[in-house]
Amino acid sequence: MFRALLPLFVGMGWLMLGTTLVGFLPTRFPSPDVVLIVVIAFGFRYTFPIGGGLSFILGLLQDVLAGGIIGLNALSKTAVFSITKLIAKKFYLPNLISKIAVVLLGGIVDGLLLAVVLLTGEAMHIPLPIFFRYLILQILCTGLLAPVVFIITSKFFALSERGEGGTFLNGYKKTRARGI
Amino acid sequence: MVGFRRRRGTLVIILFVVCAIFLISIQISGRYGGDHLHSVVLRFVSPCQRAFHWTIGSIRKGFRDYILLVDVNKEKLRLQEELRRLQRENDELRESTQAVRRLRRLLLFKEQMPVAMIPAEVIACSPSARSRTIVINKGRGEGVRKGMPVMTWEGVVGKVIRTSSASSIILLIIDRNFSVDALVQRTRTRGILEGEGGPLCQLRYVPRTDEIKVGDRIITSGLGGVFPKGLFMGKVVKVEKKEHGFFQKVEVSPSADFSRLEEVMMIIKSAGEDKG
Repeated sequence: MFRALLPLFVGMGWLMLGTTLVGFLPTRFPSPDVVLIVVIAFGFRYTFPIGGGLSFILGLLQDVLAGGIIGLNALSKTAVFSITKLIAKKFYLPNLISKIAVVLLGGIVDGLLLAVVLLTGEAMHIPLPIFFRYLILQILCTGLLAPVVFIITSKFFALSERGEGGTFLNGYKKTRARGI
Repeated sequence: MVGFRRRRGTLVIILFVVCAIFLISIQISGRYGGDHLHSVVLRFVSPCQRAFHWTIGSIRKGFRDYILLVDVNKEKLRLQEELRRLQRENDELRESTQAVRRLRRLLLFKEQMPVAMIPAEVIACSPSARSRTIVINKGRGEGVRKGMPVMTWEGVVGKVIRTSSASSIILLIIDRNFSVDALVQRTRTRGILEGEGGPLCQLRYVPRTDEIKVGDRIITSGLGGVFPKGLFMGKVVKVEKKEHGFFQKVEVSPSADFSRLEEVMMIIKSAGEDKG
């Protein structure tokens, strides 16, 4: 049970860190989107149902803690997870640099989706040029933080995969096939 | 069934997307504010956030207070040096303020006096304990002449006894060799004010019959031609009347504070000044 929930706890831990660590950063830097990096890590590791669910929940939590419209980040993070999953299926991405490139792409998708939804709902309260300028800076900061998050998160993922011959979550199909 | 299993992942994602769009739409339309969800989640999440915040703050504090001590030490030395510099500056400013106050009083006094004056700074005192003189930074070049009366805003100080081109020597009224004709302002009793070499002067040749009191003001009489009439010289501090004799002993405390003399004024137009 703990191993099944470990990715969720890891994601929530990063979310807490993101919301508290930001307070110690100089205010001129935009805060990196830690949840985006975690969701992309999920995209390289978990299946659609599990990873999608985790991304949805983390996105919801991010919305609640931000105090904005609930569902906005849930939608964008789920979309980013799906795109990451598709990219991971289509392309071979062995090293960290390629994954950082996916993070940058994910940041662009996330930002554009948010802008579209806000403009559609007439809820965009800042001028678009400023929004995109801030978005570009945030994507760059997120890209810089991505290697750290990937390395630490992979250690936790390795913990969840120990025992019972193979990946626990990704291998749940094997256990189902055995009729357990 | 197999096809459904294959597409299950996609269907789940679509379900999540629909849920998210539904949540967004009801909030944008105003039908649901999301307050309940916010409060429930925050109730569980905020203790974790507080714990994280405390942890990060402690690490930061430890790093700053212990690991970065080198910078703290440098900063301490820099601040100490800055403090010393500011203290020096403060002392200089206090000194300037004091000088301004003195000069302002002197200027006011000069404006009140109906005679022309030359201001000067005291640059030295007498090296001998027996003579009570001072040296000023004005001389013949600036119009100082021997015999000129010297005073401050407090009262009479003495007279010029020696001059050079750029400096002069002033004999103070407390010197043994100094004497001037004086009056008790209240009774108009005349006497000779003489220095004794100490902090006090004596008013000599005051008849026993005259009633002199402690606190009486002593002024110049104008006789002798050196000092103009009416200049304040000091106050009576002691009166001694013996059973016999013609005169009484009157001790006078000079009005000028000779231990704090820094600036003086010389009266230019006086009948007693010499050309030398």
